[in-house]
Amino acid sequence: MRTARTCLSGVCLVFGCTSTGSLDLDLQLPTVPDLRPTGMTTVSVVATSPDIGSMSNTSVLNGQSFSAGELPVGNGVQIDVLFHDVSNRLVGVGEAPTLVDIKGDQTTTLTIPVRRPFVYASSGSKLYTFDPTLDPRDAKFQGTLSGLTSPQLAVSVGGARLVVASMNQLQIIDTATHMVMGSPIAVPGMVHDAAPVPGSNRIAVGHSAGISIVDLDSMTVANGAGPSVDKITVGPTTDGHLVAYGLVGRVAPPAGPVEPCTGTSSIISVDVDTPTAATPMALPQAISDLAASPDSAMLFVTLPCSGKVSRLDGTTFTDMSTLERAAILTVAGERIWAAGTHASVPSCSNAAGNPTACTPTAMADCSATGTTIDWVTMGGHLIVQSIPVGGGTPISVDVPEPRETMVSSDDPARQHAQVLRTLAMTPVDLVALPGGQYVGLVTTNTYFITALVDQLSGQMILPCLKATTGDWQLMDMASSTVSERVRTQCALTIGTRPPSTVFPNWECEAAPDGQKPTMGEFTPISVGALFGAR
Amino acid sequence: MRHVLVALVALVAVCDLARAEPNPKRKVVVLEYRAGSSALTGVGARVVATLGKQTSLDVIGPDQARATYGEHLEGAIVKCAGEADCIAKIGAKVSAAEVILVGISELGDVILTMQRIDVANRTVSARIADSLPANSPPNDEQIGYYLAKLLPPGDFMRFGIIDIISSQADALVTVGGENRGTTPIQPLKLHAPASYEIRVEKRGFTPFRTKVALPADGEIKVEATLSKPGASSWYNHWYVLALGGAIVAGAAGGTIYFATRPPPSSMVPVGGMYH
Repeated sequence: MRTARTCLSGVCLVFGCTSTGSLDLDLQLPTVPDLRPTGMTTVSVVATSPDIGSMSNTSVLNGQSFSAGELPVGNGVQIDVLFHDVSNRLVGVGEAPTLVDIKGDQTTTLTIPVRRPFVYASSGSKLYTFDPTLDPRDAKFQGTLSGLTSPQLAVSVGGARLVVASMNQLQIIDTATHMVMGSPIAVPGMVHDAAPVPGSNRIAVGHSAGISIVDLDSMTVANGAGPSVDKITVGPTTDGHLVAYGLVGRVAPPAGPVEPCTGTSSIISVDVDTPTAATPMALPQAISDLAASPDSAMLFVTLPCSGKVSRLDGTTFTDMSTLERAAILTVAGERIWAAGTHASVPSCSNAAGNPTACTPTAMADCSATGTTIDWVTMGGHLIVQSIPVGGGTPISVDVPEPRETMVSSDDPARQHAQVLRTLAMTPVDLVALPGGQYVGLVTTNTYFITALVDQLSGQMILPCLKATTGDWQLMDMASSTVSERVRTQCALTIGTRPPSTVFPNWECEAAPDGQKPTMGEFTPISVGALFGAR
Repeated sequence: MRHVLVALVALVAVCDLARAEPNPKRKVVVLEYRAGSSALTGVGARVVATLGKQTSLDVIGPDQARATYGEHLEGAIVKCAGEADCIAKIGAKVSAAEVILVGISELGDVILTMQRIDVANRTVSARIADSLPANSPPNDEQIGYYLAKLLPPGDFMRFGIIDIISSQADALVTVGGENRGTTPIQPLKLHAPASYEIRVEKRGFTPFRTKVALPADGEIKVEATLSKPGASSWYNHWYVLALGGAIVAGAAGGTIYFATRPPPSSMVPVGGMYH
């Protein structure tokens, strides 16, 4: 610490300040080599408060001490730390566990745990880790956490702890070791969603019996009984107290390209400090997700049927943006991050096998009858939006449609293939990584093509193929690209094949190196990130 | 899907290592291009100011460029759509050897890009990009960091000239502890900004000593008058010098104190350690 104080004194000499005030940061990194941030060359200290807004100082690291300019004095300031490497890749993140008062006449000392910005994806049976500081081909890019029972989702609380919801209990992971801490905490229902309570070590849990507020320090659970909650978020009200909002009756966007979207949803709200039984407030719209701003009284929702992101005040909806098949959203910093999809364009045929207009009941299934979807002429694709919370022009990124290649295993050369366009994409979960540049997403996708039959002989040449894939991807919003992707699963169903079928056997082509699920295939059901907002 | 190495904050330097170091006093024009963003107001002017402080380049900013090129400068930059060939033509019209094109766009966060375009070759010789949180413009240190990545190191090596004239020939000249020969000597080109201690000595004469602060691109003339011992004036006595020194030091200290005494502190330094 002596070195740091010397640095601070040096800063004072250089900048001409004579007061004794300073902000002295003690950044604690894990000792486990695979978890410890490495290769950092710059450190950014970010101060955020209602009075000063957001202010960031970046300085080049020289040794293990640093001086990072000056920050204004103020009360209730959130201090965050970002480490970047020489290519400006984010390699370490820290968040002060509590708000601090920066004084002009005294030293404020702050201990901050700093971690690699791990991303987590859950399958319901395992929790998978992705280390975005590594190359995707690195053997340690993907991993799993042990000691967890049926993990459903992972939520970061302050960065030092990761809360993993498993069925009707919460388990806590020490992020410095990636090991389970203590005993599980039981909640009175099957967990569907969880959200951290800003500025505290508590977490709000939405489950089949309402909402529970869990204090991770005291391991106590306070329940607000109510209907089954599908999604949950926590934010302040205009008078400053924190409220957990639960979405009841989530309406997912249509799975297929021609299916209708209908339904309505309700919202319940519970005071975080004194949770009590909650009554749902019915809304005239179908809602697929909700997210509250962590530091201002604003609640946002995605409307899958009207294709919008809206702000919700009471029962009044105010449009924030248009987003087709709006599915999921989160709020990080001053922006809303939302994902939807553009529907595919299918080609259909009637019961006689003649081309016809697709109807809302047309199915894409190898055993479907009547008017059916035969193939896709234009694949569906993902849309990710970034919208200022205060309103303004959204930034929309249309991710190019993914395609999957099915290879005939009857061809010894393995070069006889069908390239399938996306029939349907479902954004399952989304997390905004610290810094607001990366967005982690998990999706499930469906690909379909009907059988190809010789009309004269009736011989089947190619069987019907239906593939379901899972994707974990990291969107780089700065360059509008998918910077990392892992195809977590490719499950192929082959339709009925008479023995005379020319090419009866097919399989998914292996994903390229760096996109293979090295810990085994899985269907992702949620995504989270250390210090991330989901 | 290829891994995008330069993901959220890209830093790409495309340097032609084979090329000789460019003239550190070449003319460089800084142009600003905004893709529908009003963020980072005045960042082009700050780049100009930083270049002026840290290099010897002949820098002209967007306003000067507009005066030469015409009021349709912004329109011309927009039409170029970032094409180096097109931007180089604008640079040629304002007689610059290089263009630094500062681009500001917003995609979630504010994206700041800087391209260094060689006017003669019409190519991009270096490029950096950074992604910044909204309402967090880069500080001067960060701008300096970007420019250090963008420009060759030689641009940041600056010089000044010290011209030492002695009243006596064959006096030994030492600058910064390094022997520079005997008088008369040619003006010395030295790294700047820096302070140098100068000694001029000759047997039989009282040595001349002084310390000068040499500004970048500046020229200082030092007249060293060597006198015989015993020919000193009243003001050369030690007690006079000591008293004078004390008065000067006191005055300087007081001036510095009152000049730099802050108001009740509104800013505090930030630092720390990681372990």
